[in-house]
Amino acid sequence: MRESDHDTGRGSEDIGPVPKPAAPTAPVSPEPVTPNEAARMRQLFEQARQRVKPLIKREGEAEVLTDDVLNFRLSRM
Amino acid sequence: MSATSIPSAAIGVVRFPAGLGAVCPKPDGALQWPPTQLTYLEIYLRSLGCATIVVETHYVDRDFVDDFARYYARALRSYPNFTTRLHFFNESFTEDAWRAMIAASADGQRDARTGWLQDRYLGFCVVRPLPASPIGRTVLRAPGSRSDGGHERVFGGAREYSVHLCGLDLKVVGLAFQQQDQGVSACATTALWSALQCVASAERLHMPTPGEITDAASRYVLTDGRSMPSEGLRVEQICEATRAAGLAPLVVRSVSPEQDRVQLMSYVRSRFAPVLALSVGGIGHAVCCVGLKLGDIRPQTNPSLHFRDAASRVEGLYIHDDRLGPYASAELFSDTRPGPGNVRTSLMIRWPDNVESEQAILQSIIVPLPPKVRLSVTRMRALGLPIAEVAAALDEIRGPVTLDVRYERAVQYKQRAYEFCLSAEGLYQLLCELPLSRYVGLIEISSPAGPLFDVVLDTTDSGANPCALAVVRRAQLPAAALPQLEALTAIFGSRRIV
Repeated sequence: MRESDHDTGRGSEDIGPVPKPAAPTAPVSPEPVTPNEAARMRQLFEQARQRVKPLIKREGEAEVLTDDVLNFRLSRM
Repeated sequence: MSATSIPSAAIGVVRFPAGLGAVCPKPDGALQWPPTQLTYLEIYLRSLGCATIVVETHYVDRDFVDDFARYYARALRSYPNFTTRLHFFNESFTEDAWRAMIAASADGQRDARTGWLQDRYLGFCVVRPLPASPIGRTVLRAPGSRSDGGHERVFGGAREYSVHLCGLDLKVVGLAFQQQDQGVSACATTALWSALQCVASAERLHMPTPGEITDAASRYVLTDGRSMPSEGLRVEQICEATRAAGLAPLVVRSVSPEQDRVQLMSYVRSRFAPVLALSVGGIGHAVCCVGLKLGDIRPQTNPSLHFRDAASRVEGLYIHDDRLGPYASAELFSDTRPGPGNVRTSLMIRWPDNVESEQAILQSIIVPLPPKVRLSVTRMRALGLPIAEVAAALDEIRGPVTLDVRYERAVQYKQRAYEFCLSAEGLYQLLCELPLSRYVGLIEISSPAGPLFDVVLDTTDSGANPCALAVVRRAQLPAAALPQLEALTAIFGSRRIV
C-alpha cells in the first residue's frame, strides 16, 4: 500500500509552507452568458470538433497496437 | 585479508584532470579498455567542470549486490560483492583538505562544510567489479537549463537523490543510469530501470533492481528460452515488468514525427521518463528519455486549423543510452522512406563533444504510468483540439493561440494556483471546494503573453465519460472573453473558476 493512495488532491503529502495568495486582479464576469452567446459557442465548438476529427483519428492510431509493436525485440549490445 | 575477514574501506581524493583512468584501471581480462561508457562519462564530467573525485573504495550498491546474488555469485570467477563509488566535485581540493573538512565537521561546522560540498557536488558513479561493464548506478547532475545554442532544456525525468558520504548528506538532481552487463540486464532492462527510478519514487513504490526487472519480464513471456544471461526483451516483456513494479505500461506506436513530438512533450513534461523502442540498423534498441530540447513554437502546418501546438517546440531529446551514457543528446528529424506518406521519426544520437554517433528510427514509446492515470495524452488531446480551435476563433483573444496538454499532480497544480491571479472566490473554490484526481490532466490554452485558461481533467476516467472537472481562468484571459469561457464551461458541464 502506498503512503498516499488518495484521489482527492488534498491528501497526506507535505506541501510545505503555503505561499501568500496573490492579490486578486481578475474581475468575475458581471453578466451571465446570454442564450445567443451560448448557442454561438456551441456551434463554434461543434464546427471545431468536425474540423479536428481527422486529426483526432490519426492521433488515435498511435494507441492501436499490433503484434509487431509488442513483439519488437530490443537486444542491442 | 582472509576470505572471511571484514573488508577494509578507505576514502581517496583524486584530481580529475588525470581522468577516470586513474580511478578505473584496466581490469585483468578486459579485452577493450576503456569502454565507450567510461570515455563518455569523462567527456560529460569535463563539460560539468569536474575537478576532484572522492573515491569510496568499498561501497555495497543495492542494485549490484542483487545482481551478484542472482547471477555472479554462482560464477567460477570470484567476483567481489562490493563496488567502488566515485563522487564528483567541480572544485579542486586535496586529500589533506578533505581530512580537514571531516575534522571541522565534528567541530560545529558540519552544516557549513556540507553546504560547501553540496554547492560543488556533481553526482556519483558506482564502478562494478565487472571487466566488460564497469559502470553501475550513476547519478550525475543534468546539463544546464539552456543549451549553447540557446535552446531550453527540460529534464522532466530527473528527480532528487540523497547521497550519504562519510556521514555527510548530499543531494543530486538527475536520473540514474547504468550500463547493461549482458548477464542480468540488456539495454531494455537498464532503460526500464531508469524509467522506473523516476515514477516509482514519486509514487513511493519499491524500486526494482535490474535482476528483478529481468525476472519479472520473463515470468510469463519467455520467447528466448532463458532469462539469464539476458539477451534482450520484447516490448510486451517490458510491459510485464512494468506491471510487476505496480505501474501500468502505456504503449504508443510511432505514427508520425508530429505526433511523436506530442507524446514525448506531454509525457516528459509531466515528469514521466518513457522508454523508447528504437531500430538501429534493423536491430532493436531501448533507451530512456530523460529530457527535451525545446525551441520556438512553430506555426500550424495544417491549413484547416488555426491554433499552434506547444509540442512543435521539441527539437531534440536527452536520453540515457546504455551504449554511451547519461543525457546523450539526440536530434529529432523526419526521415522520408519509400512509399506514400511513409515519414518516420529519426533520432541522431550525438556525443557531448558533438561527434555524430548514429541514426535510429523510433518504433514505439512505452510510458510506465501510475495505474490510476487512465486518461491518455491522446484522449486528452481529443478534447483539447476543438477547445484550442474555438479559442483561436474568438475575436476577444488577441494573437495566436497555443495548445499544451500534460499531467500535473493535483498538489502542485494547487500550489501554482496562488499565482493565477484568480478572484478570492475563485481561488477558494479551486483550493478548498474542488476535488481533484491525484494527477490532473491539463489542457492549457495560451497566447504569446501567457496562459489564458486551463481545462482541468479527471485522469482516473478513460475519457468515455465526461471528465472535465473545471475551466480555470488564467491571468492573460481578457475580461471581454469571460462570457465565452462560461459558455464553454457549460458545454462540458464542469465548474467555471475565475
